[in-house]
Amino acid sequence: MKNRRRKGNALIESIVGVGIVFVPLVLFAADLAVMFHAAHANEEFAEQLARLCSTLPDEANALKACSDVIKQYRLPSNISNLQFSNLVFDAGTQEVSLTTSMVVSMPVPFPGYERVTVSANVKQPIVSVPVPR
Amino acid sequence: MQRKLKNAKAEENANAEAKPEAKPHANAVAKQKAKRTRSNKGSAFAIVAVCALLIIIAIVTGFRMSVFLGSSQEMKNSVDAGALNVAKSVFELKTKPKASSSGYGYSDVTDSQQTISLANINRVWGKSFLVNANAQAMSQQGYGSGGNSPTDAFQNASTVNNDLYDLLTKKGNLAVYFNKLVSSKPAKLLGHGGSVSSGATDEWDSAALYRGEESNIELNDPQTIPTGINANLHTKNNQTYLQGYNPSEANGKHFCFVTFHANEASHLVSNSTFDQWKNVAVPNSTAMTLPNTFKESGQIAGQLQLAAAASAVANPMRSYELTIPHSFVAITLNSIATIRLDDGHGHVTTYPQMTYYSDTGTVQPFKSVDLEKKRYTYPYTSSKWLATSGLLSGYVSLGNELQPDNLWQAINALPGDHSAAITAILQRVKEFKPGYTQAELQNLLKGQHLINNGEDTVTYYIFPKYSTPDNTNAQVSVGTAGQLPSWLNKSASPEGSSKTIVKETTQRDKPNTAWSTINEGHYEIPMTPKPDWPSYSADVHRTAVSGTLSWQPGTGWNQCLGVLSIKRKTDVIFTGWPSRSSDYMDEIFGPVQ
Repeated sequence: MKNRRRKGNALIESIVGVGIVFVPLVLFAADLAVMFHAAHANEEFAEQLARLCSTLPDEANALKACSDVIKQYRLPSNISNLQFSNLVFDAGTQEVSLTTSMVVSMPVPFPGYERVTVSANVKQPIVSVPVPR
Repeated sequence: MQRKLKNAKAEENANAEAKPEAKPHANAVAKQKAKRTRSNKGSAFAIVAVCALLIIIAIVTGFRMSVFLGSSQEMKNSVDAGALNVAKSVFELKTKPKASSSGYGYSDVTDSQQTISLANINRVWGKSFLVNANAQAMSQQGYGSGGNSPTDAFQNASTVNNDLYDLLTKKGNLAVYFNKLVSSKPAKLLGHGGSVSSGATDEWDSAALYRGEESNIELNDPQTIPTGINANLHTKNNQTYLQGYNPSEANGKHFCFVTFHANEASHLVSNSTFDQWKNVAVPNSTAMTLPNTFKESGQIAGQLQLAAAASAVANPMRSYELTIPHSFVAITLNSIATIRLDDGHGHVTTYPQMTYYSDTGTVQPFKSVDLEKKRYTYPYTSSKWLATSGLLSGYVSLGNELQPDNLWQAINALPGDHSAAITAILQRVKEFKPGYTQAELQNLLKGQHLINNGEDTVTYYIFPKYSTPDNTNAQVSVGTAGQLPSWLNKSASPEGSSKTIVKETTQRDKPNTAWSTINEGHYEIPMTPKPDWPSYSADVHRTAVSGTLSWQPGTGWNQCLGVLSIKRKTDVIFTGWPSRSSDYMDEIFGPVQ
């Protein structure tokens, strides 16, 4: 009788402990991992996009190239949207900067955090312009 | 739970009071029981707590790892961008070339700010190479060594090169460009501690990548370089370039160009590629070898210590033709007429030598010479004499060989092989306008009218005109004093000696002609049958037009690439002899050359 009670207690304690502590922690960890991965991927994507723009002659070409790349980009299943914005092709400072943002669907949608937007603003030196005469 | 524990304790206390003799044993059992009861009841929680702690630690570790890896990548991206910015910006490091002791230099191959950078240093070496190639060719062809010009040009180029080398290898200069970019590109995951900076620059280095590949000096027209001189060339996409980091030799000197791939922007290369080329030596390079690749390292000096290095190849994305931009070729034209009146008795009146031009037309060297006072001996029958009388006036039509009136005609006025002269001019013109053709030269010279400036020699200059501030895209022009660009130094003379390269076939009685009039004249030859010549007084009036073209080459260091001197002479003779003269022309002018 005592044994059964003790086993029941342990079971209940385990269920309660796992349910209240383990599962949220693991789910949180999974969300965090996905978010980190998405943020990293977005950062790299932004860098590559900016580097591409830096090899183009002007802002119009850079805009078109960015649009083309985004159109052709095959989004992973957990990325619902990918955009770029704030493209500045500054011939004066010889720098190009832009922002990319990804909307990431969380694997464990906590209330209010079903989707998280990660964004990255990057800058690259323009290398496409010949040296002045 | 607390209540359960209290009940258990009360029960144990009651048992202890009822059996005092068994107190020590009972106490021990009770303690054991109590202990077993506590451990059993909280064990699951303890395990859960420990596991939770482990998971939290794992999550925190994972988070920190992600931050570390993410920051590391961010910093690497930042260092990459910084290195790229250095490679792109090194062209802003410039030196102002100073003239050599002779007063000549490289101001014509500078950019619009009259400066030399890594972008146009190859133009300096290109001009220096051409000057020395000209000197070597002059020496090979027997025109002399070119004096001090080739050495002066080489030394001045070395000075510019080494000044630039100092600028490019000064880490402080490069750090400005590196930090400019990385300072605005921190490792954001680290927050305030994520600032990237150049830190210690001990690892910073530079290298000469891609030896033997193309520089940014094009040589698509091989005749830009004088005959007999070879350069190390690299062909890519149907374009020919001077090789980078594989010095070309001319006049015993080596000229090292920097490699810049055509149609490429500045870009990153792996550090292993950099290290591989770092150890490749450039042969025969007497001046400091200018790098085209730069390696920088950056660091985060916050709580998290991170460092990374990146290498980038610089490329100005601008190429130039091998030229001496401020240079010219001169053509001088000197036409003279010598006029004599021979009385047949050894008395020759030589009239002052006169310069004539294309518009000179007819001149009258003498007027109404009284022949009655003279007696002329017939050349082949000296025992007999010819009496003539009358007033002799002579006329000469000059400058006919210069018609139609243009510089091309001036060069080719008389029969002969003028190709040597045209070749010499064209080769030199190609030194400021590569690819220029003989047809273009012919059209240019045909468009230049000959002028009469009243001087013995008229000099025409073939020179380039530029619409760009860096003296590229030359348009070839021709003109005389007053029509020349301000940079052109008319007093510059070629360093080589002069040699006749064309000797024209002498023309008799054409294209310049002479004639005379004798007023109130007659002749008689006593005691001889009446001859078959005209029964009125007449004379011999003949012309001979001859010409030579001489070439005096220059190295171009003082701007002058060479002078083509055209000298023409019209010999005119008048006599009082009857005009049956073709058989004794040689006696007058000498044998035909």
